[in-house]
Amino acid sequence: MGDAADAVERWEIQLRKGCLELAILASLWSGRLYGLEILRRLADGSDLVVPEGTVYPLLSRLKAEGWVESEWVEAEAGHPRKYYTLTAAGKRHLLGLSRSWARFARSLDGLLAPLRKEPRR
Amino acid sequence: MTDSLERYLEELRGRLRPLPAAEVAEIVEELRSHVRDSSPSGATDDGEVAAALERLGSAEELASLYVRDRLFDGARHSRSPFVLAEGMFRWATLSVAGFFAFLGLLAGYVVSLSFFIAALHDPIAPDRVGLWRLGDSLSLHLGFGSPGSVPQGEELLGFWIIPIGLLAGGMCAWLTHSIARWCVRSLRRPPLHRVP
Repeated sequence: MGDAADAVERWEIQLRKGCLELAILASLWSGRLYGLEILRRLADGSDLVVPEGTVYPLLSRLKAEGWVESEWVEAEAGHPRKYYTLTAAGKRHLLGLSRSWARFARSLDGLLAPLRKEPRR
Repeated sequence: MTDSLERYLEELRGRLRPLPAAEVAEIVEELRSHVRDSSPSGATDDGEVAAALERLGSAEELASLYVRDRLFDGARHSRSPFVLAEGMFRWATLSVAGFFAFLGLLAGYVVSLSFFIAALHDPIAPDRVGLWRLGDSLSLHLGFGSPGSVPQGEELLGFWIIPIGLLAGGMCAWLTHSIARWCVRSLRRPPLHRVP
């Protein structure tokens, strides 16, 4: 039983990390955010529990790919914050990812439909 | 600002050395800002800072996520052997595996270069370049010394050393380049997406 639960958890971890890029880009859809806001958005809007240390290097890569750009903004908190915005290419990329995700989810759902009719054991 | 935060950022700065200095400064400032925002006291309370740093993971792990991923950025978009070699060189400064991979890359390029030189040198000094049979063994001799140092024996290739040298040099360079690109590709993805 423990093994089966472990296996599900491992699978979930793989699934989440595959989706992290999509989730981060999606969190920026409605406007600019800084790193911690992105983390909070992911934690509130989804149950994607993201280790904090993975988000910043990933943002740095998304920037290198040209999908986001960043600017330093002096904040009321008394120190500057680095805000990220989607670029035009980033928006196109995100739309592509989101279409591909929807297609994938639909086809997998179809495949899984018979399982939901099974009585729970 | 607590000492533990400064120590953490200092260690991070050291481990990010392979990246351009401006980028390192920006990463360090971004993480300083992150820790300040994540602790209600604005990073003046030791306990809060320790908790925030704990959530970020060790400086070593964080730096390796940045460095290994960005190492081959150039190499991924470019087919130039120089860009590839530069990425491999930076990898070599980071790990033993990288060091040996870089040596392998250099050795491969040196071997292919010597094939090319042999082929291109033949029209200039035909008597000093060739494949000589010395006794029972085959010996590829590249002559850059005096004509007197040419080995005594039967020369096997003659004019054919030009096409054969070019072909062997090209294949060797292609093979080296492909193996290096494969290394770059297989290294790139996993560390970034490693989730504890």
